[in-house]
Amino acid sequence: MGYFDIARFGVGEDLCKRLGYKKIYCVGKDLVVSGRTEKTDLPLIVISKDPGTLIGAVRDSCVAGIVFEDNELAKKVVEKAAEMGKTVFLVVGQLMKTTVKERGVRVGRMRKIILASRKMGARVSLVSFADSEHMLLSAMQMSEVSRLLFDDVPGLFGGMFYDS
Amino acid sequence: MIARPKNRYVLVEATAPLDVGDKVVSNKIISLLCAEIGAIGYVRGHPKVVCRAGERAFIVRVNRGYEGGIALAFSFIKDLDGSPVGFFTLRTSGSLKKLVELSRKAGL
Repeated sequence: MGYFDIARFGVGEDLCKRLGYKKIYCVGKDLVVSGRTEKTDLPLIVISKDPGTLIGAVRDSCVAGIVFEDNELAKKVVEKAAEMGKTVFLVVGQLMKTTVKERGVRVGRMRKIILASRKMGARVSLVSFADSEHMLLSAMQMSEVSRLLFDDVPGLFGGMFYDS
Repeated sequence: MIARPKNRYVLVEATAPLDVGDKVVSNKIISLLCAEIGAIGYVRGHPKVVCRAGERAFIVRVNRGYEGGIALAFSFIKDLDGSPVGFFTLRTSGSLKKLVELSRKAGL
């Protein structure tokens, strides 16, 4: 089993290995992140607040996963994602740049997404979407963040982006 | 009988060179950690920068069971004296020697 992450810049193989990841995917090179569904050769991740856009994205075969912008949960989208086998990505990088109070609010919202996904059977993955080296997290730190978010969700531990 | 405290050592890599041998820098790191884990977490975990393990790496000693909390706290520290910096916790171990060797091998 290996852990993966997604960053907005190219991370060297050496640093990637040191951090404990099998691979850190680069946005623009390995996959595309967009606000709407578009035709691309690379896997697409759609970030949006609008449930209609996200439901449309989930139905598309080239979409690998979705991100709820500002962690605003739409249960219909999670239900559809579970049905279509798409991943709901949670952007951990958002937790890093904020105040303690704001972080608490964001953790609460992320937990709501996790609980809804758990209930409906959708897959959840944590990604950093780091835009620079200092915003990256090691696999160990990512696992601790997943414990912070997932620990009290029954029957679920860890939500890191992994393959088996 | 009072049990001897058992320590764990955490190898931390910074994104920028740091001189943790300087007391001011190491105290700054500990105070930033303390701000994240809180006073009670600090007393329980009792983190301390024990040595430098390279130009950008250092080792933190912490009470056993609190290494996860320290790793989480380091992930929230993104600023040191106004300049952006990131900390990666790479490995934890029960012995200091092992981490120093690991850091040397990784060329940190």
